[in-house]
Amino acid sequence: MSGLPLEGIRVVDATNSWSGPYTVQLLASLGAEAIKVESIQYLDTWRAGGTRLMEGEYLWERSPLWNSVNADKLGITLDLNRPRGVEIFKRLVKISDVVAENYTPRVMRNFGLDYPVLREVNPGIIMISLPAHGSSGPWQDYPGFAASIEQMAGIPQLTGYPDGPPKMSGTGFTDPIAGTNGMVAIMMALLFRQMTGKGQYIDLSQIEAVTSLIGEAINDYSMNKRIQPRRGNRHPSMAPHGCYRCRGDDLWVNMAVSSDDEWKQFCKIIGSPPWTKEERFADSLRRWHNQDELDKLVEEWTIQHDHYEVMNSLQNEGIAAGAVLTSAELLDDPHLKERGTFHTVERAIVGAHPYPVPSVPVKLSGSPVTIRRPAPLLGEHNEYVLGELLGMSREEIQTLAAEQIIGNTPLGV
Amino acid sequence: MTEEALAGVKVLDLTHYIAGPYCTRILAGFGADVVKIEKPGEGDPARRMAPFLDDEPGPERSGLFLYLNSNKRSITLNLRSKTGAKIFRELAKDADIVVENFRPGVMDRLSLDYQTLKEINPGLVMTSISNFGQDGPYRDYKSAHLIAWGMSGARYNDGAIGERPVQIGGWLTHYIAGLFAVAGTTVALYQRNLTGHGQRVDVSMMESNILITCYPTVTYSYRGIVHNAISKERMGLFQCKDGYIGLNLFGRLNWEMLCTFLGMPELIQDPRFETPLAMIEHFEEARALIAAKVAEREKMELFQSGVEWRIPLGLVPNTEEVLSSPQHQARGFFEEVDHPVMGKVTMPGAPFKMAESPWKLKSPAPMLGGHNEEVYCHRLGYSREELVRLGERGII
Repeated sequence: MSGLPLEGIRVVDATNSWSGPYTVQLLASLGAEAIKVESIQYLDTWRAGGTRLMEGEYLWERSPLWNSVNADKLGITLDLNRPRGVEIFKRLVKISDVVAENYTPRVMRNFGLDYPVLREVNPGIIMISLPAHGSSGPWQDYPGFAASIEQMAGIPQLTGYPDGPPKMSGTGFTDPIAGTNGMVAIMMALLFRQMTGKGQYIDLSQIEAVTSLIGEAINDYSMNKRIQPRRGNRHPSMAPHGCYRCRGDDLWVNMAVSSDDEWKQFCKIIGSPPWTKEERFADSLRRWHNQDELDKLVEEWTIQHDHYEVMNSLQNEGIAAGAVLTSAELLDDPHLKERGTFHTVERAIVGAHPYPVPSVPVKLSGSPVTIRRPAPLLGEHNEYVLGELLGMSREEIQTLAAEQIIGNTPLGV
Repeated sequence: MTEEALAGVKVLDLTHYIAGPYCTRILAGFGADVVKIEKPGEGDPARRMAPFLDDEPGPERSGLFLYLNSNKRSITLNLRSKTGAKIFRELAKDADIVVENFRPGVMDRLSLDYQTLKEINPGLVMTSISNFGQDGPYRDYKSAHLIAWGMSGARYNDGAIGERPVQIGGWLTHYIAGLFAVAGTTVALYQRNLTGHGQRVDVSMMESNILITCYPTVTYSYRGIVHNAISKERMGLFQCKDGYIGLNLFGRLNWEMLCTFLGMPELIQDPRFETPLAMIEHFEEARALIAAKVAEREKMELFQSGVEWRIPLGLVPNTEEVLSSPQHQARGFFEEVDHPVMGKVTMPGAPFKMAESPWKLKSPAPMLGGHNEEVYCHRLGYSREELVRLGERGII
């Protein structure tokens, strides 16, 4: 079997930042033709993502984050604040299967491009909106970005130490969580369409999608009126279970010893120092109750060793351990290299860089996936999309450029 | 006309703990017929994981299990017995999807590997979720939530270099692997519907978490500097009179708005905060100035007025406050299950709202083996007497 699963599906990508773009990127990675719509009047804010402290020409083409999450897509520009832009957008929707957007509800409504309108244009269209708070309810027009979504979903209150303040992840990981949910939603809609021929509208609240990942903490409150305490690096029953300093500068290893047998193996690996035979560490319950002391003693051993070395020696004896990996280590990790987790792509202006293959966590035996094309330059596919797909003449396209409905350079730069 | 995205889709669910069950929870919620296959006598180990109703452990009292297994049916089957494996292959004949999260190699040892099942049913989609994937040097390594988070590259909590990394709360890394498993499974099913051919979907928990935390690594390759310096500009969490709020500034304009909002317009011109580099250098001073302003205000008032100014600002609710959020209430996000042992429990419902094929709660998490008769007798045609004999032999 060859051919990517979503070949023949066309997606209009009117999304911004990371969440919605990741939804569309997953579809593109698996074979859909995705057309990212920007405008020279208003760039995707993500084109500034990660460019702080950067200098040089064409700064809007230099965002590592934008370039990562828009690989495998085509890119066009269209000024949606003018009727001509709106009209072209509708023509594109007419020949597409999916439209994705992640603004607060007023934005698409103000353009005259919300679902009731687009359904008239193309009754079979699948449209997804994935703003922070969803498309209904009293907070629907409140803005929200990764960090506030992490907060509102209740994650920081569960993260950190029991005696300390709530903590943030430090990385905008809720965007790709919402984005993956968006992709799943579109797949559900495509499956439904396969059966019934019907399109539909999907309303995804990023906060709800992320809150869905702490169901047991939510129902603990519902059942027991308990607000779960933060548990640091600990586990409800395992010990040792934690993050330990290793040899070197700011290097760490995590380990999780899950049984008395594993504990015995662990003691052997570390050379069975006398403290391992102490009564207070004799079984998992006592180890768990004496973790403060235990953690210090374990760290006396780990600090003498490299974090990869600790991981490998524990894992070879069947004990769960993992080096806390830095970015440089991730890019060079032997396991990830063999799995093809990152793929180096050459792109104009920025050159060759490794990017995570968006759909790599789901390896499909029938259709191996990698990154097929770099993220588009601003307006790179205007001619292909307007000319080939929409059948406009060269003159029409030139007029659009002259009127700044389309273009390749941001205005005001 | 059907109103379910996965109407008629038959799933055999060999998963346990969190990642696999979360995958099949989503499939079941959108209409798939999910038969959960559990070990006789013990069942899914998640039945023994907290939280428990009234903190009393029991196989039908786990809130974690309750959340992850709505809408599924449960049968017991000992796959390690030859008869058990044979019965599974019978079930696989007309299934659409098998989802499993055993350690790599276990399905081969049970003679239930993809090659074998494919011969029985070429259209079958088989999704395997594992710690590190089905191949590569770490294939047989063990993992845990803490370990998956540490290996994902997300290490600088609150932007602190040199501080001990701390795991993200809950069991998020497992859920995230389960989420990617739904993505892969639905794509494979879509293609199967077109071509008639199923395929193997190999989901790695490590890679799933790398994908969702990849900003620092992508950025690193471009700039060769670590992520944390930049994330400082967002400012982070602050204690106010009755809890916490989060400030999530994105760029200069947000900073200027915040200074005005908090009544410190003079800071806009302050050279300590004028450029990104200066801001990073004087980060602690900026935080102290903000902290002093918000300490005496109430979180809901700050949130409501902050968003009116369009300042990216978040509440930092605990689970009680998440449950009482007026936005969630208005949207009907939470659903109440009624379980024969646990009674009425409220928990998250649809992860997204589909207009034509909505999420449905049809039944609470199943009792261990609660659907043996329904599945073995009605689906496979075993008699009740045969069922009793299988039970006596420890097969079901």
